[in-house]
Amino acid sequence: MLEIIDIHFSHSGGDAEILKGISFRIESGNVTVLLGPNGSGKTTLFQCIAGLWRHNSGRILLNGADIGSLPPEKRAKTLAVVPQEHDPPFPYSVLDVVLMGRASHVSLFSTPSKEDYRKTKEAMEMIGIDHLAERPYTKISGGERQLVLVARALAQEAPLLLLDEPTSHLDFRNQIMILKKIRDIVKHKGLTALVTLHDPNHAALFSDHIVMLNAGKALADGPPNEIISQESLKALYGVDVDIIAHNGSSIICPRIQD
Amino acid sequence: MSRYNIPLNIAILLSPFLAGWVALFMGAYDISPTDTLGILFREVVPFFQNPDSPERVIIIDIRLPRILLAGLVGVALSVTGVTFQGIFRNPLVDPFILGISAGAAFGCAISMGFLPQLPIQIMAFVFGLLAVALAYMIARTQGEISRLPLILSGIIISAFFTAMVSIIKFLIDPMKLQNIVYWLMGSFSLADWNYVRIVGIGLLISLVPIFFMRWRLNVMSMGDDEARAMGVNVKRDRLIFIASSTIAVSVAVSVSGIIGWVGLMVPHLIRMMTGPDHRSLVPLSMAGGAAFMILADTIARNLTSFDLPVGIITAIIGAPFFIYLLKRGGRDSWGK
Repeated sequence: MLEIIDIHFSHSGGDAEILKGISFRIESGNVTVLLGPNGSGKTTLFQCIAGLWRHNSGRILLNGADIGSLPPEKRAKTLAVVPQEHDPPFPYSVLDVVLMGRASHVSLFSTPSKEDYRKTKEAMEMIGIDHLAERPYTKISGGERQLVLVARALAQEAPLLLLDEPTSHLDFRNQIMILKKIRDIVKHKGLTALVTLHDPNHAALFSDHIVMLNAGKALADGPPNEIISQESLKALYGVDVDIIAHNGSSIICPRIQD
Repeated sequence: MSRYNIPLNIAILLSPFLAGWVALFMGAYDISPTDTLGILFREVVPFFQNPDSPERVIIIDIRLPRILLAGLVGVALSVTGVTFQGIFRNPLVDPFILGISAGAAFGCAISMGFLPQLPIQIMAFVFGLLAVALAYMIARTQGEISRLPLILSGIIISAFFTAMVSIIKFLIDPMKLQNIVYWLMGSFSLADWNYVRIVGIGLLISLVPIFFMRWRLNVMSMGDDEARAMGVNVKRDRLIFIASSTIAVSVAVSVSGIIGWVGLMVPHLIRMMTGPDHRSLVPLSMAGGAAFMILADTIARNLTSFDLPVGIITAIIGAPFFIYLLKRGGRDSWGK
């Protein structure tokens, strides 16, 4: 269980508070989606949980233990971050990229062991990218790269996964594919995932729990069917929507005609 | 590109020995390979005594230390090139990016111009280290050091020391000016066994951490935030890499002046041939750098009746070879 307790954050030197006391909790084995417009503090909160930025006050507890001030190696064994796909400066093979996920398990003056390779291959098979192992990471599609980064996070063997807009650079098919895969793996391995997304439809379809963030505050949180409503989305994005029930899930349709 | 091209890797690893062997019987004084082998054999194996001939002096006291020194400096420049390209995530960075060369040049200029009682080698070493330390301190903002400010402060420090060198060059007597200019071009003409010993020990100490931490360069080249999220202590590891590299380059510069191009080119060539994985890139660049430098120095000694500065040769043979590889490899060569 991940507990976010009263997190405050402002950039050093800047007087504007970006996170104004955010609290929520996530049950283990769930996919939780953070929804919020640009500038809502989503990414900032994400960076604080990942330990890349230090929050001014508040606590982040994983199963009761504060992970806010762990050294990098221990934090990496607790939570794995899946960044947005990007171009690295050198054309590493896919296998070498996934292997990097083992960094916290490889001691400072050594190189990955057979065991690290085994875990790496396991993660790649689970994601279904083992056939890409020898391809240069720079020569595969954006969707494949995002999968590689998910595999890398799995190789890290951390119980908590943080995914930063995993769909943002992907086409329609790959968006669905990656979200489905993330959900399957979280359920299969009993992990906990916190995902930021832009599309409330995706959130409704793939999450167990949604946290709505606006102007540095959590507006609401709860299961998708309780929390997604015309009012909440209007409050969150300032957009008028219709919500259509279909096969037990809800489809959010923005009103584009005035 | 196959994952491990074993014959190619072995060829690269053996290349410095081949280059060194060829270089040993190349020179103004003609000594045949058989005689060379005989002299080496008698020198190494006990119970045999080398006659105190000019051939022995040339092979053992002149050519051998010079070849070894060139090889060692080649190792230092290529490994630090690989390291800096990795931690700065930029294939166009060279070992001098943080201002070592300008600092060392300033140390040399002071020693030659005003303080002849202080050896050039020590002054170059001290000011090379000082320049990098300054760049590192300038880049520190709010206790954090990130990539871009570090490169920028390296440029600032380089510009500053280069200007100081220019002032000294402008003010001093033209005879001394000539010496400074010659030293800055880089040369192994002063090589002796003492230099080899100093550089050997210096490199052994400074390159061991880089060698054993080389896999971390893969992770660090993905960027600070990603490396941190994967459990790398970026601040500490980067400091180890920069400090080790700076010592290695300062040692190299102090005995041979500033030899450009090697630290940029060799890692590139090796990466094009064998791939970007630093586990193989670091040792193969060591070998490639040594072979390239020995070859360049052999050409520098033999091309004309003068001992040309080797820095000129590295650029002259490096540039066309590099252009050829880029044209052949197209965009792939830049690591894309």
